[in-house]
Amino acid sequence: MCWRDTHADGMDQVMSTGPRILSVDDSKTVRRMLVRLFEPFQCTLSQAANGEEGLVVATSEKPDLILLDYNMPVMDGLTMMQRLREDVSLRHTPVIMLTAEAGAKQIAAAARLGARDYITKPFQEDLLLSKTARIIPLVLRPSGPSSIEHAPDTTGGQAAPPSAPELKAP
Amino acid sequence: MMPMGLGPDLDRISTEAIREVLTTQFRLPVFAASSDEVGFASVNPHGLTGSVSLEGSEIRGEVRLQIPESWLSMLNASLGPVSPDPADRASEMWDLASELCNMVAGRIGAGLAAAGHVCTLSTPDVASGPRNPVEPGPGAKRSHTHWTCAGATLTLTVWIK
Repeated sequence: MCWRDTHADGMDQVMSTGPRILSVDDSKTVRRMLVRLFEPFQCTLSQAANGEEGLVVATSEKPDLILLDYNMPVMDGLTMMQRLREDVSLRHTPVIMLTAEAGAKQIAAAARLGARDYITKPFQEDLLLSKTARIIPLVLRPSGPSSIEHAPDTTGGQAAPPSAPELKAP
Repeated sequence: MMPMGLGPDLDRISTEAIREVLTTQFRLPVFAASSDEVGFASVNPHGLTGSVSLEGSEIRGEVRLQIPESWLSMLNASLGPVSPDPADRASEMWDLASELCNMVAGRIGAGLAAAGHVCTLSTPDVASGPRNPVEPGPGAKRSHTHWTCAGATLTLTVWIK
Protein backbone atom coordinates (compact mmCIF):
# COMPACT_ATOMS: atom_id res chain seq x y z
CA MET A 1 0.00 0.00 0.00
CA CYS A 2 1.04 3.54 -0.32
CA TRP A 3 -0.65 6.42 1.35
CA ARG A 4 -1.24 10.03 0.72
CA ASP A 5 -2.22 12.63 3.26
CA THR A 6 -3.43 15.99 2.19
CA HIS A 7 -4.53 17.54 5.45
CA ALA A 8 -2.74 19.48 8.12
CA ASP A 9 -0.90 16.51 9.61
CA GLY A 10 1.72 17.16 6.98
CA MET A 11 2.33 13.81 5.34
CA ASP A 12 3.47 13.81 1.77
CA GLN A 13 2.52 11.89 -1.29
CA VAL A 14 4.41 8.71 -2.06
CA MET A 15 3.94 6.05 -4.68
CA SER A 16 0.77 5.20 -6.56
CA THR A 17 -0.35 1.69 -7.35
CA GLY A 18 -3.55 -0.34 -7.31
CA PRO A 19 -7.02 0.93 -6.47
CA ARG A 20 -7.37 4.25 -4.70
CA ILE A 21 -9.10 4.42 -1.32
CA LEU A 22 -9.95 7.68 0.40
CA SER A 23 -10.43 7.70 4.18
CA VAL A 24 -12.39 10.69 5.46
CA ASP A 25 -12.37 10.77 9.25
CA ASP A 26 -11.60 13.50 11.75
CA SER A 27 -9.86 10.95 13.96
CA LYS A 28 -6.20 10.48 13.18
CA THR A 29 -6.43 7.30 15.27
CA VAL A 30 -8.91 5.77 12.84
CA ARG A 31 -6.88 6.87 9.85
CA ARG A 32 -3.79 5.23 11.40
CA MET A 33 -5.79 2.04 11.92
CA LEU A 34 -6.76 2.07 8.25
CA VAL A 35 -3.20 2.72 7.10
CA ARG A 36 -2.09 -0.31 9.10
CA LEU A 37 -5.01 -2.41 7.89
CA PHE A 38 -4.46 -1.75 4.18
CA GLU A 39 -0.68 -1.69 4.34
CA PRO A 40 -0.31 -5.31 3.09
CA PHE A 41 -2.35 -4.62 -0.05
CA GLN A 42 -1.59 -3.06 -3.40
CA CYS A 43 -3.62 0.08 -3.04
CA THR A 44 -3.29 3.78 -2.39
CA LEU A 45 -4.84 5.24 0.75
CA SER A 46 -5.48 8.96 0.79
CA GLN A 47 -6.70 10.74 3.88
CA ALA A 48 -8.82 13.73 4.75
CA ALA A 49 -9.97 15.00 8.13
CA ASN A 50 -13.45 16.26 7.24
CA GLY A 51 -15.98 16.30 4.42
CA GLU A 52 -14.71 19.53 2.93
CA GLU A 53 -11.17 18.21 2.66
CA GLY A 54 -12.59 14.92 1.47
CA LEU A 55 -14.33 16.61 -1.47
CA VAL A 56 -11.11 18.35 -2.47
CA VAL A 57 -9.16 15.08 -2.40
CA ALA A 58 -11.94 13.15 -4.14
CA THR A 59 -12.10 15.72 -6.92
CA SER A 60 -8.38 15.59 -7.56
CA GLU A 61 -7.79 11.86 -7.09
CA LYS A 62 -11.04 10.21 -8.18
CA PRO A 63 -10.89 7.41 -5.60
CA ASP A 64 -12.30 3.96 -6.31
CA LEU A 65 -13.75 3.78 -2.79
CA ILE A 66 -14.41 6.25 0.02
CA LEU A 67 -14.48 5.18 3.68
CA LEU A 68 -16.52 7.92 5.28
CA ASP A 69 -17.14 8.96 8.88
CA TYR A 70 -20.45 10.48 9.88
CA ASN A 71 -19.80 13.05 12.60
CA MET A 72 -17.02 15.42 11.64
CA PRO A 73 -16.33 19.12 12.11
CA VAL A 74 -16.50 21.55 9.18
CA MET A 75 -18.53 19.19 6.97
CA ASP A 76 -20.13 15.94 8.11
CA GLY A 77 -20.20 12.72 6.15
CA LEU A 78 -23.79 12.97 4.96
CA THR A 79 -23.25 16.45 3.58
CA MET A 80 -20.15 15.24 1.79
CA MET A 81 -22.14 12.38 0.29
CA GLN A 82 -24.81 14.78 -0.94
CA ARG A 83 -22.13 16.89 -2.58
CA LEU A 84 -20.56 13.80 -4.14
CA ARG A 85 -23.89 12.81 -5.66
CA GLU A 86 -24.28 16.28 -7.17
CA ASP A 87 -20.91 16.03 -8.91
CA VAL A 88 -21.12 14.30 -12.28
CA SER A 89 -17.57 12.98 -12.06
CA LEU A 90 -17.95 11.62 -8.52
CA ARG A 91 -21.59 10.63 -8.17
CA HIS A 92 -20.92 6.94 -8.75
CA THR A 93 -17.98 6.67 -6.35
CA PRO A 94 -18.74 3.82 -3.92
CA VAL A 95 -18.94 4.88 -0.28
CA ILE A 96 -18.76 2.74 2.85
CA MET A 97 -19.82 4.57 5.98
CA LEU A 98 -17.48 3.87 8.89
CA THR A 99 -18.89 5.52 11.96
CA ALA A 100 -19.78 5.25 15.64
CA GLU A 101 -23.31 6.38 14.79
CA ALA A 102 -25.53 3.31 14.81
CA GLY A 103 -28.97 4.88 14.67
CA ALA A 104 -31.56 3.60 12.20
CA LYS A 105 -32.21 7.17 11.07
CA GLN A 106 -28.56 7.73 10.21
CA ILE A 107 -28.26 4.38 8.43
CA ALA A 108 -31.38 5.10 6.39
CA ALA A 109 -30.11 8.55 5.44
CA ALA A 110 -26.80 7.09 4.24
CA ALA A 111 -28.64 4.40 2.28
CA ARG A 112 -30.85 7.00 0.59
CA LEU A 113 -27.71 8.76 -0.59
CA GLY A 114 -26.42 5.53 -2.05
CA ALA A 115 -23.91 4.32 0.53
CA ARG A 116 -22.84 0.83 -0.45
CA ASP A 117 -22.39 -0.32 3.13
CA TYR A 118 -22.52 0.86 6.73
CA ILE A 119 -20.01 -0.34 9.31
CA THR A 120 -20.18 0.79 12.91
CA LYS A 121 -17.17 1.45 15.10
CA PRO A 122 -15.64 -0.45 16.78
CA PHE A 123 -15.18 -2.36 13.54
CA GLN A 124 -13.87 -5.84 12.90
CA GLU A 125 -10.92 -5.47 10.58
CA ASP A 126 -11.70 -8.62 8.62
CA LEU A 127 -15.25 -7.41 8.06
CA LEU A 128 -14.06 -4.11 6.66
CA LEU A 129 -11.57 -5.88 4.40
CA SER A 130 -14.20 -8.27 3.07
CA LYS A 131 -16.68 -5.47 2.39
CA THR A 132 -13.95 -3.46 0.71
CA ALA A 133 -12.99 -6.44 -1.46
CA ARG A 134 -16.56 -6.65 -2.73
CA ILE A 135 -16.08 -3.21 -4.26
CA ILE A 136 -12.42 -2.99 -5.29
CA PRO A 137 -9.78 -5.65 -5.91
CA LEU A 138 -7.61 -6.17 -2.87
CA VAL A 139 -4.45 -8.03 -3.77
CA LEU A 140 -1.60 -8.62 -1.37
CA ARG A 141 1.54 -6.87 -2.45
CA PRO A 142 4.49 -9.12 -3.20
CA SER A 143 6.44 -10.31 -0.19
CA GLY A 144 10.00 -9.21 0.39
CA PRO A 145 11.44 -5.82 1.15
CA SER A 146 8.78 -3.19 1.31
CA SER A 147 8.52 -0.99 -1.73
CA ILE A 148 6.72 1.63 0.26
CA GLU A 149 8.31 4.98 0.86
CA HIS A 150 7.56 6.56 4.18
CA ALA A 151 7.49 10.21 5.06
CA PRO A 152 9.34 11.02 8.29
CA ASP A 153 6.23 11.33 10.41
CA THR A 154 4.18 8.48 9.04
CA THR A 155 2.34 6.60 11.75
CA GLY A 156 1.02 3.47 10.23
CA GLY A 157 3.04 2.43 7.24
CA GLN A 158 5.77 0.59 9.08
CA ALA A 159 3.54 -1.22 11.54
CA ALA A 160 3.37 -4.98 11.49
CA PRO A 161 0.54 -5.92 9.17
CA PRO A 162 -2.50 -7.41 10.88
CA SER A 163 -3.53 -10.96 10.23
CA ALA A 164 -5.87 -10.77 7.30
CA PRO A 165 -7.10 -13.21 4.69
CA GLU A 166 -5.89 -12.91 1.14
CA LEU A 167 -8.66 -11.11 -0.61
CA LYS A 168 -9.33 -10.75 -4.27
CA ALA A 169 -12.21 -9.33 -6.16
CA PRO A 170 -14.98 -11.82 -6.82
CA MET B 1 -37.86 13.45 30.70
CA MET B 2 -37.66 9.82 31.65
CA PRO B 3 -39.41 8.82 34.90
CA MET B 4 -36.95 8.02 37.69
CA GLY B 5 -36.43 4.32 38.25
CA LEU B 6 -37.52 3.34 34.77
CA GLY B 7 -35.58 3.21 31.58
CA PRO B 8 -32.67 1.19 30.26
CA ASP B 9 -30.15 -0.75 32.32
CA LEU B 10 -27.23 1.66 32.05
CA ASP B 11 -24.74 -0.60 33.84
CA ARG B 12 -25.39 -3.42 31.38
CA ILE B 13 -25.23 -1.13 28.36
CA SER B 14 -22.01 0.49 29.61
CA THR B 15 -20.41 -2.87 30.31
CA GLU B 16 -21.22 -4.20 26.85
CA ALA B 17 -20.00 -0.99 25.24
CA ILE B 18 -16.55 -0.82 26.80
CA ARG B 19 -15.97 -4.55 26.40
CA GLU B 20 -16.93 -4.43 22.73
CA VAL B 21 -14.69 -1.47 21.98
CA LEU B 22 -11.59 -2.80 23.71
CA THR B 23 -11.91 -6.39 22.55
CA THR B 24 -13.14 -5.81 19.00
CA GLN B 25 -11.03 -2.82 18.02
CA PHE B 26 -7.91 -3.32 20.09
CA ARG B 27 -8.03 -7.03 20.99
CA LEU B 28 -7.53 -6.19 24.65
CA PRO B 29 -9.27 -8.15 27.41
CA VAL B 30 -11.07 -6.00 29.97
CA PHE B 31 -12.31 -6.87 33.47
CA ALA B 32 -14.26 -5.17 36.23
CA ALA B 33 -11.69 -3.44 38.43
CA SER B 34 -11.02 -4.48 42.01
CA SER B 35 -11.63 -2.04 44.85
CA ASP B 36 -7.87 -1.41 45.19
CA GLU B 37 -7.58 -0.54 41.53
CA VAL B 38 -10.61 1.73 41.81
CA GLY B 39 -9.04 3.55 44.74
CA PHE B 40 -5.87 4.25 42.79
CA ALA B 41 -7.75 5.36 39.70
CA SER B 42 -9.83 7.84 41.67
CA VAL B 43 -6.75 9.74 42.86
CA ASN B 44 -4.56 9.35 39.76
CA PRO B 45 -4.38 12.78 38.10
CA HIS B 46 -2.30 11.62 35.13
CA GLY B 47 -4.85 10.91 32.49
CA LEU B 48 -7.26 12.23 29.92
CA THR B 49 -11.02 12.33 30.12
CA GLY B 50 -13.12 12.09 26.98
CA SER B 51 -16.76 13.10 26.92
CA VAL B 52 -19.59 12.81 24.43
CA SER B 53 -23.06 14.30 24.85
CA LEU B 54 -26.16 12.30 24.03
CA GLU B 55 -29.18 14.16 22.71
CA GLY B 56 -32.56 12.75 21.78
CA SER B 57 -36.17 13.85 21.71
CA GLU B 58 -36.84 11.97 24.96
CA ILE B 59 -33.48 11.90 26.68
CA ARG B 60 -30.23 13.70 27.05
CA GLY B 61 -27.08 12.63 28.81
CA GLU B 62 -23.34 12.26 28.71
CA VAL B 63 -20.65 9.61 28.42
CA ARG B 64 -17.31 10.20 30.14
CA LEU B 65 -14.29 7.97 29.89
CA GLN B 66 -11.29 8.59 32.15
CA ILE B 67 -8.10 7.00 30.82
CA PRO B 68 -4.60 6.84 32.36
CA GLU B 69 -1.91 8.48 30.26
CA SER B 70 0.47 5.51 30.52
CA TRP B 71 -2.16 3.20 29.10
CA LEU B 72 -2.93 5.62 26.26
CA SER B 73 0.77 5.77 25.49
CA MET B 74 0.95 1.98 25.25
CA LEU B 75 -2.11 1.84 23.01
CA ASN B 76 -0.80 4.65 20.85
CA ALA B 77 2.43 2.75 20.26
CA SER B 78 0.45 -0.33 19.23
CA LEU B 79 -1.11 1.62 16.34
CA GLY B 80 2.22 2.15 14.63
CA PRO B 81 5.37 4.22 14.99
CA VAL B 82 4.81 7.13 17.33
CA SER B 83 5.87 10.60 16.43
CA PRO B 84 9.30 11.65 17.76
CA ASP B 85 7.87 15.11 18.38
CA PRO B 86 6.43 15.33 21.94
CA ALA B 87 3.72 17.73 20.79
CA ASP B 88 2.65 15.39 17.99
CA ARG B 89 2.72 12.46 20.40
CA ALA B 90 0.51 14.33 22.85
CA SER B 91 -1.84 15.17 20.00
CA GLU B 92 -2.02 11.50 18.99
CA MET B 93 -2.92 10.52 22.55
CA TRP B 94 -5.64 13.15 22.78
CA ASP B 95 -7.04 11.93 19.49
CA LEU B 96 -6.92 8.36 20.74
CA ALA B 97 -8.78 9.30 23.93
CA SER B 98 -11.31 11.14 21.82
CA GLU B 99 -11.89 8.19 19.49
CA LEU B 100 -12.11 5.69 22.34
CA CYS B 101 -14.80 7.78 24.00
CA ASN B 102 -16.54 8.23 20.66
CA MET B 103 -16.67 4.48 20.05
CA VAL B 104 -17.88 3.72 23.58
CA ALA B 105 -20.52 6.44 23.32
CA GLY B 106 -21.58 5.04 19.95
CA ARG B 107 -22.18 1.61 21.43
CA ILE B 108 -24.01 3.14 24.40
CA GLY B 109 -26.16 5.12 21.98
CA ALA B 110 -26.95 1.89 20.14
CA GLY B 111 -27.85 0.20 23.42
CA LEU B 112 -30.12 3.07 24.37
CA ALA B 113 -31.75 3.00 20.93
CA ALA B 114 -32.39 -0.73 21.30
CA ALA B 115 -34.15 0.10 24.56
CA GLY B 116 -36.31 2.65 22.76
CA HIS B 117 -34.35 5.80 23.58
CA VAL B 118 -32.93 7.11 20.33
CA CYS B 119 -30.24 9.76 20.60
CA THR B 120 -27.47 11.30 18.56
CA LEU B 121 -23.87 11.82 19.62
CA SER B 122 -21.91 15.04 19.86
CA THR B 123 -18.35 15.17 18.59
CA PRO B 124 -16.04 14.09 21.44
CA ASP B 125 -14.35 16.52 23.79
CA VAL B 126 -11.16 15.72 25.70
CA ALA B 127 -9.69 17.33 28.81
CA SER B 128 -6.59 16.64 30.86
CA GLY B 129 -7.08 14.96 34.23
CA PRO B 130 -10.32 14.06 35.95
CA ARG B 131 -13.20 16.44 35.44
CA ASN B 132 -15.65 17.74 37.97
CA PRO B 133 -18.01 15.08 39.30
CA VAL B 134 -20.99 14.36 37.10
CA GLU B 135 -24.05 15.97 38.68
CA PRO B 136 -26.93 15.54 36.28
CA GLY B 137 -29.53 16.57 38.85
CA PRO B 138 -32.78 14.95 39.96
CA GLY B 139 -34.49 12.43 37.73
CA ALA B 140 -31.29 11.14 36.18
CA LYS B 141 -30.01 7.59 35.89
CA ARG B 142 -26.29 7.17 36.33
CA SER B 143 -23.78 4.39 35.82
CA HIS B 144 -20.24 4.67 37.21
CA THR B 145 -17.99 1.68 36.51
CA HIS B 146 -14.27 0.91 36.68
CA TRP B 147 -12.40 -1.38 34.31
CA THR B 148 -8.99 -3.00 34.31
CA CYS B 149 -7.30 -3.36 30.96
CA ALA B 150 -3.63 -4.15 30.33
CA GLY B 151 -2.67 -3.12 33.86
CA ALA B 152 -4.54 0.17 33.95
CA THR B 153 -7.88 1.25 35.35
CA LEU B 154 -10.38 3.09 33.18
CA THR B 155 -13.45 4.79 34.58
CA LEU B 156 -16.68 5.03 32.61
CA THR B 157 -19.50 7.30 33.71
CA VAL B 158 -22.82 7.59 31.92
CA TRP B 159 -25.89 9.57 32.86
CA ILE B 160 -29.19 10.12 31.15
CA LYS B 161 -32.39 11.90 32.06
